[in-house]
Amino acid sequence: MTDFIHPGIVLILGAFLLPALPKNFRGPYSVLLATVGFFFTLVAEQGTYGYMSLFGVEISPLVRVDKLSLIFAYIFSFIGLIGIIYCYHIDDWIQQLAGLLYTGASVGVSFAADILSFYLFWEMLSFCAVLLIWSQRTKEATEAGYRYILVHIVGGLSLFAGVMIYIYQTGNLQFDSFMNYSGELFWWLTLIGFVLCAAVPPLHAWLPDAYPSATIYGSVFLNPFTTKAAVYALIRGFPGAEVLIYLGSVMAVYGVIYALLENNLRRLLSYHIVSQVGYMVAGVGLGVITLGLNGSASHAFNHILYKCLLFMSAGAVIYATGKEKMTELGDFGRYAPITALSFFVGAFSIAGFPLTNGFIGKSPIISAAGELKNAFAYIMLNVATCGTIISIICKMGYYTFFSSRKSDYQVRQTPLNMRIAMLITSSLCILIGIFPQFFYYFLPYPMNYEPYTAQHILDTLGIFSFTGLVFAIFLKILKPKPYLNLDIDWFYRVGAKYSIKSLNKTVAPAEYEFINKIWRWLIDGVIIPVSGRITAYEDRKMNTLPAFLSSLAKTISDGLACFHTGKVQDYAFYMLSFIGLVLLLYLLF
Amino acid sequence: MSFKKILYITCLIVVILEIVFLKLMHLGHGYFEFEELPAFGALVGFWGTLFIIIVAKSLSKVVTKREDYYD
Repeated sequence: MTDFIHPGIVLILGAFLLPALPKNFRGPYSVLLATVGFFFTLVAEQGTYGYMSLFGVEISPLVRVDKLSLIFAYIFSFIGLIGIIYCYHIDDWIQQLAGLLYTGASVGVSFAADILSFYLFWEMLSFCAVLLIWSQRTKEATEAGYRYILVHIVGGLSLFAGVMIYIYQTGNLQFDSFMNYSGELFWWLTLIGFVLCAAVPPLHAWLPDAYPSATIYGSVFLNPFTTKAAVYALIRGFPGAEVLIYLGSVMAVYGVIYALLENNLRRLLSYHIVSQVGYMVAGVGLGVITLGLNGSASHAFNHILYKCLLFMSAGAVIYATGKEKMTELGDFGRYAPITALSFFVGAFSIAGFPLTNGFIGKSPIISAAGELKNAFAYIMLNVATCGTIISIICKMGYYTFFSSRKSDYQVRQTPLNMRIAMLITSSLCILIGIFPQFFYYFLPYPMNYEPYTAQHILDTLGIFSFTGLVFAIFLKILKPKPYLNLDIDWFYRVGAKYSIKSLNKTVAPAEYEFINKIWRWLIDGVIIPVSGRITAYEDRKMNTLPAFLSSLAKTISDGLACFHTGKVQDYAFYMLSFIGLVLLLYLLF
Repeated sequence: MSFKKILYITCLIVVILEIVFLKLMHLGHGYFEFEELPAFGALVGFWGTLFIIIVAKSLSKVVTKREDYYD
């Protein structure tokens, strides 16, 4: 193990030292630890490590480092570092601890070679996420955290069942492609476990429910890890599963439709995660050619960068003003140029404008849909791009940073470390967009792909300009409104309420009216009289025997007492008469 | 010059560029036949956005509720 140090283990073990440190050292220490974790990821060599046997079962190897796991590990450990820089100034070690653990667990997921250690790291993700949600310490956050953990327990159990059946049926502990077993029960169970974490509708409602409830630092950590770890798992386990093409395409459009309706900044961004992960899921489905898988990996990598950038700038807006609804913001660009700049870099990246990393990230997926002649995916993914442009650049950008000021908010200066984190990420978004071939070198499969073709650039420009045109036409209709939009979580939120109500109407009366009465009759009519009888019986029977014995003993001892005179001659007389009695008996018989 | 005027001119320029480079000079090649339509990107942008807005607005008739709905 000397030639490879697992960065995930370093991060997880190192994080537990954090609470023991004095308050002033926690920020610098967590930045140092995240840097060390990122360094160990960078120096990791490809290969397999950690051969061991447990209880006579050969588990080998535990750690696998290949190009696919490396690209995810790079971005997970890097964004962990960015997130830690972003929350450098806060005085809340739980969030820093959870952030470091979350980073470590995601790196662990991407490096896990056997399916059991993969599952352990996978479950750790949900645990860290809930810590970050509960750190907000409000009633909504607590409730959202409970809903999050309940949904993820369902997904985790489905995955666990799938994994156990897989091991039982194949005897194989390696985490490799499941596509040879397509259609079997464990194939479906594992797929459901993965797509739940990838937030594929209708199993997505936990995401826009939980992420906006976390702290602003928490949502920076939340958005890259769980969903993208699921994308990694899908690329590894289900490359080319056709159902994913349609799920992903629908999901990409579904996310932007809801995003367009949203008023809350972070809820809008959360729906964009659903939409963007849709591209990646579709890319995995298109993975019968490696272009699709490469596209998923490259889109996941770039998505993490610009999505974190967007969440960081939304967090900066919330930090500065204390407001997170577009109906209460407006004209914010005037007060925070760096936040506005970072937001628009992120927004143009997510929409895929040329010269940003979003453009070069998702092009391979759309091209893969073209090469496979899948017109449905091709059209849906392009339409989702329109929706992304209109909801993020136009709606969120315009109504937050421009338009007229809608409430009288105070503006607080954002800390330097937050601005540094945003600027580093923005510059990376642009750099990767300018030098795509350098980035493509790190993708899991070799490919010869040029994103900057005349057709592609002009189509993108057309989509951008005409989406802007439609926005200008419908400016009034698209004005944000202070309302809530119901989603699939309605079924379990309202469903839970009604099931409690219906239990109140059915089970509670039955319990009170029926079971309670029988019970009362049983106690009053049977148990108490019977126990009264038993007591009386005890009094009569049980107590008489000891009383008789004691009075007998007293009588005997009273009788004996008259012999105990205390005089020596009396005792001598008793002895002699006893000896005489013995002799007499001897002579007689 | 107002913002809207700039937008209209940009749209016009993009349509002209698309037609000149892709239809007249044949610099690009699409994957599908429908991509051969003149100014395909502009068409997708316009109709796609319109589609999203119409679906979103009709959906909001069902799903949009007051903010204290769950309380």
